[in-house]
Amino acid sequence: MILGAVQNYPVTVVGPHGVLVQEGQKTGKLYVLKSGDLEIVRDGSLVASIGEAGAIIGEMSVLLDQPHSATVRSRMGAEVYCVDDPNRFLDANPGVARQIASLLAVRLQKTTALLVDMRQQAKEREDHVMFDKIFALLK
Amino acid sequence: MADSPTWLKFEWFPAGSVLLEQGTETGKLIVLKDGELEVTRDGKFISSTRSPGAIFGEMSLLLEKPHTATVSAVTDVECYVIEDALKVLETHPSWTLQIARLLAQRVNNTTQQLMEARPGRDEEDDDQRLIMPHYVISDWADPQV
Repeated sequence: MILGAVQNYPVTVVGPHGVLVQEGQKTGKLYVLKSGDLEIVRDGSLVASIGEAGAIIGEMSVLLDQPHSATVRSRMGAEVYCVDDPNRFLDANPGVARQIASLLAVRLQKTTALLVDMRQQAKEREDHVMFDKIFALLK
Repeated sequence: MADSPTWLKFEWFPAGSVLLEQGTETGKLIVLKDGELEVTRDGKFISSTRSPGAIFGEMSLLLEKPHTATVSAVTDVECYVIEDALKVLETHPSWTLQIARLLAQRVNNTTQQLMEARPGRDEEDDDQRLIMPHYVISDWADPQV
């Protein structure tokens, strides 16, 4: 669906080891992978590799009107559609907007579950420390 | 809203009533207009809000899964109820975008909190570190650019 929606947008070619967007840069664009591979690098570490045509990149930056929070580069080279008017594009393509919203809902569910998990761990550790303190008093 | 469309209902709920029930799938979106709503999960308090415009039911709607929490009225509450909201969103992309923005902000917040709790941030004492569960990398490998 998304590939059909972007087919008339310009295509940027990223060469092997080339960079599409730089962390901290604000392009205001939405990117859709046409072919090839992309790697997401944050704080110098590889966060994800993307190889499926139709993958959306840059949606957080567009929605939050913020600079890109990661660098996007290619290992073997890639062709990428560049949507330079993302807000108008999403308004005209409700299906894509819906796709992005659902993607974010899934992501939120995952990050929230992780956060709950980590808080639980922290609490257990606190309980443990408290127990040690009480135990030390009894000695 | 004299000429409000048929899918948008203005409703009033007395204090104590349940607007969305955990485990059910309603396909509804609820937008708070006035009053206080409370979110609980498994009977435990999660949050409450009085902010007009606060949206409820969007996760269940977008994930096409049952509600993971119960939303009930603390005070008497006035709100807008959108039935069969997925269909309505299809014809109102700007609302979908608004919800996407909201979710993006929330993802940003949770990600931020996760990053802060990540091992290596708190160097003083190894035992005090929060341990990232082992499945994080595979499960969390989501671009988020």
